[in-house]
Amino acid sequence: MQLNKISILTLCCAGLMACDAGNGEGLNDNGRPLSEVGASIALSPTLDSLQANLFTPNCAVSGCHSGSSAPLGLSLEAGNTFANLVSRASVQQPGKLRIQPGDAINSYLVQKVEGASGITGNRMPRDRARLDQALIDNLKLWINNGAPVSSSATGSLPPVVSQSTPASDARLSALPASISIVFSRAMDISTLEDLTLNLLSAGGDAGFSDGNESALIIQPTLSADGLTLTLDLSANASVGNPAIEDSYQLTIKGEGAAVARDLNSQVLDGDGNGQAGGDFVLTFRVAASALLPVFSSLEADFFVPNCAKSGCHSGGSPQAGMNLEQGNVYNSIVAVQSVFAPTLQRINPGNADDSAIVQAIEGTILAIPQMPFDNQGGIPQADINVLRQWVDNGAIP
Amino acid sequence: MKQLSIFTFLLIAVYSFPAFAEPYLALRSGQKCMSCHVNPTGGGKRSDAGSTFGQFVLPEKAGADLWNGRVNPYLAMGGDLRANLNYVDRESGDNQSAFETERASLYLEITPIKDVLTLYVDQLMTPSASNREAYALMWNEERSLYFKAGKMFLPYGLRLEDDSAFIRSASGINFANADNGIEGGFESEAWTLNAALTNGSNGGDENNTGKQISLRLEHFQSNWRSGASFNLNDGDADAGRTMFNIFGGLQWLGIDWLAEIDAIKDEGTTVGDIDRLAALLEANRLLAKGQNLKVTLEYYDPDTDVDEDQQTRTSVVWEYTPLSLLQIRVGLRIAEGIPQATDDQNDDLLFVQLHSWF
Repeated sequence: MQLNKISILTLCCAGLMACDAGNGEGLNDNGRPLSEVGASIALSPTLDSLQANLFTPNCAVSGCHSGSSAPLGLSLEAGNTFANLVSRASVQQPGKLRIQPGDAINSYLVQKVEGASGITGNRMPRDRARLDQALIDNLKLWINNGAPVSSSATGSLPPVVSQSTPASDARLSALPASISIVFSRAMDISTLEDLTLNLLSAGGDAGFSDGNESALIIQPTLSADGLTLTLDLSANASVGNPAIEDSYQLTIKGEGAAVARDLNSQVLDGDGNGQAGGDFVLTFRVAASALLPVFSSLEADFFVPNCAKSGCHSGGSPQAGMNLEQGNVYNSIVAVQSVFAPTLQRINPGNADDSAIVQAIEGTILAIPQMPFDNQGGIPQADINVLRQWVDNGAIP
Repeated sequence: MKQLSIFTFLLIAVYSFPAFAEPYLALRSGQKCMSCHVNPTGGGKRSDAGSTFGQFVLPEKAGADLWNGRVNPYLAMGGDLRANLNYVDRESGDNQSAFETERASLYLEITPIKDVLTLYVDQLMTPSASNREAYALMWNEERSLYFKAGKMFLPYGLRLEDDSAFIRSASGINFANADNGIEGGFESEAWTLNAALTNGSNGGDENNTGKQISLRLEHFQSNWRSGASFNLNDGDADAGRTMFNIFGGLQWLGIDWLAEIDAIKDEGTTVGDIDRLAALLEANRLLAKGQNLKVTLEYYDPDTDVDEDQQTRTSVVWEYTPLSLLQIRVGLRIAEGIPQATDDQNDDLLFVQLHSWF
């Protein structure tokens, strides 16, 4: 009996230890015979290439997104990928599409592979290294190109503006040195020039049609992937000057003789109606703070709207025990020791630099994430300067 | 009185129910997984005996008081946290080191009818909140038959903690893939039979009329056990998966041996039918109280009809449980796959893990 056990175990151990990994001869990167799959496909923003380089080797592996038991019914084998991903609602977050053609940023698949905050479950691929950035970039480019099924198709959706910095209707404390525009599809830089780009200042009023506007100098550059347009404003004297208050309007032409186009010559869908054409218009303003360096103004127009939100500094269990609802603010902050930075007072009367709240709002304190947590960096410096002034004046109630 | 209670629990734990989470602990103690877990097929929240084992038997230094997560006679809680520091030596690409909260789970056990009806929830808190299991569990009076309905991990092979083990990742039956359906089981001193009928969509919406059948039979003796599993997932018209495995454990030469071999057949893939093979051999040695050394050999052939595509792994893990409810694991995993692979099949892993539970 003992001999039998020894024999069996020895056989098991020897058997497994004798199993070497394959030498890969005659196989492609994914371990499939070259005769079966042909030559490897270079990485590019097409479905065929992404299937070969991304989905098959990273997702459609045994036990994962392959076969009849693919999680969430989501097989990503060749032939299934398009139908299961493009314009299909996510099971984990039904309000989102796994792939939203033309909008990589809001496609749930992109959020999953990037491990974005707010996803349900694990980053993908689960328990494996993060996908190479080149794979993710090509995936996003394919999606932004409309996620066409055929590698020869160009996609039917016209390009749109996915994101802008500053955001529309933003209030800034000074004119920024640059404006950033993210498009849904790779753009043709030759169509982004003086005739299609126009940045106006309103001339002191909020109107852009009364004849007192003036054009600003803009220097456009396009990122290598063709998606991000940066407008350099540094040649304008008003950049960074908080004393010059005005409204600004950026127009990217999608209507008229000269229009912005993507690399497939599709005209910009500036008004976002799903049809090529229409101007994209972004307005923002530069304005000094409306706050006064007195407590009543700061409490009503600074702390309460920015901090006393549900789940933040309000209610019976406010974050850090600091209730910033109307009537509670002063006693919660002035000369009170910070919980997360115990060497500091939340507001140190007479010393804004050494006040934890000021540092937290400016994002300069390691112990506390930048505040407001849901709008980090979103408070204009002009408003912060008023808060600083009140603190330096002694934080008088 | 309290000391007497703890002493009684200790006696029970040492002599009756010394099992804890990993199959080798069940083997080492000659018990079934259900001895220490609420779930009859193991994993998740510990039972009172499991809590006692984890606090008084497993660690080098036993705890002073018993914490079994019981809030009142009808409600008990449990949890697991695994925090890692990983260093990955990547074959293709830059090496990586990262802190990672691998998993934090909370368990809720509601027992409206003691020993008969349990409502159970296993909720993953991080990374990202999601439900892993949620089911109603009913036992007969003799505790020889049970029935489950809801979302559950499927009975199949060895219930290893490591989802990335080839036998668990290739089969797709692991802690990441609970499924909706029903499960029944028979338990006797020497036998366990589990059978489940589920959607076969791993927790997702069902998109076809086919169902997944999982069967698992295991025979127990004091120092060895063996079993076999079968799984059929009937997908749409052409696609389907059939799996079969044999597994077992043996206490021998002071080592707790575990082994499993899985044969997997996928039908209706884009390259036709594929036969896969995965195997694991694990040796566990109790070095001293609170210390276990684990050596694992793994093998995976992703397509038995294709030559030179096999993958292997060798792992060495030292598990040290210095205190009650706290374990430190240090491990090295050497992986070998085809040289041209651009995924992680050639990436070596060095990790330190802090595992805490209650």
